[in-house]
Amino acid sequence: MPKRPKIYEKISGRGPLRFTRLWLAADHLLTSFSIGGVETYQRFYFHKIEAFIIRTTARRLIWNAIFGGLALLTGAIALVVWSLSKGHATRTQPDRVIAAILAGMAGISFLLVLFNTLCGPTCAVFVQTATGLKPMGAPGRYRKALQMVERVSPLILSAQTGNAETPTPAGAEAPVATFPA
Amino acid sequence: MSFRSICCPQCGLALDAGSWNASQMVVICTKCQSELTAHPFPALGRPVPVLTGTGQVALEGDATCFFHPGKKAESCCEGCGRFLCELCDMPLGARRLCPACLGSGLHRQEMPELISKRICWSRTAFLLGTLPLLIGWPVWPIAFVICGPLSIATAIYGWNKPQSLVLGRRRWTAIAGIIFGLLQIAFICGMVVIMWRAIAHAKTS
Repeated sequence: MPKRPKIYEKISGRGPLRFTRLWLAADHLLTSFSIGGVETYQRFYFHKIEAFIIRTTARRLIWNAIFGGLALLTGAIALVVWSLSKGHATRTQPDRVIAAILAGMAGISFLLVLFNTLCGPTCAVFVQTATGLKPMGAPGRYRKALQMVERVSPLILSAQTGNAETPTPAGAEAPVATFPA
Repeated sequence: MSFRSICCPQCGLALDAGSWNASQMVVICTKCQSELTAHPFPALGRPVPVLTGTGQVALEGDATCFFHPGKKAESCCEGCGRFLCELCDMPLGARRLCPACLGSGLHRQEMPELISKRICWSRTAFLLGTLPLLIGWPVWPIAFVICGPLSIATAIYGWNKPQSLVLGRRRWTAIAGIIFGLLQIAFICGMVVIMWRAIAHAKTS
């Protein structure tokens, strides 16, 4: 049986924990929101997209504060448990195990902070159409959002200007968009 | 004729074109201080079309709408080829359809452009098969009794049903759902056998 050709190509939202993903089709962008076994879709046709608006958010800062606080707290407790265990000869072994577990938790929290920082600033992407502003849900990082815009812009410009020659998204130059007076 | 402007997603304030940095299109909203980056497209500069929704009256010799014989045909349905007036012209992405084709496609879920929701049965089966394992062990017997058979039933029921529009059919999730469902049932059966033997042993002794 011949395999059905793929209509959609994923452009954002990789990983199993991302509920909102962004897909690229021939004439539209599609956001899929999945929860459990149910997927809901929203389409943005190229000829109807008036603008992408990216708003920077404080999500990265909030997560860094949460994980950083957790790392500091567990690290401090691990240090206290470790130092207390030195005084008790009989309780050394179990206390050191607890200290090691807490230190591991602190290490994981610190790694999450590091990963979150390296991923770059967070943002929320919106699409403006004739019917108003609509949130896209993905991408959640500013750098990824700019990459997405750079990739999709030539296709949108091609659809809106009626240029038959479809530009290749990969390596295409950034489009020159004009703002209405 | 009126033109649209870019609005702040946070506070809804219409942002003035003059406040934008033309090279980077970065602006800070004057009302809520949100930092915004905009990428406008030519569609933003187009005037807002005023649709009367009634269509032009057909003159003698004009092609007329299939559904409204008194109205002038403006376009042609790409599904059935019928002439359509302004009122009956239903744009669907790049396609133009008549209300009849649109209605039948919507009813039968044939057009992927019209699908707004899908139940992915294989993924549901997989989740039913694996999620009870994440719950603490004291709850396992109850969760397994419910989720085990349900996982298998869901996988079988949705075997040939339309799956995710974007990911396509993923049989491995349904198969994994069946395997995990069988494991849950086997666990329950094993527990019942052990308890039965224990009761029988207690009665004989």
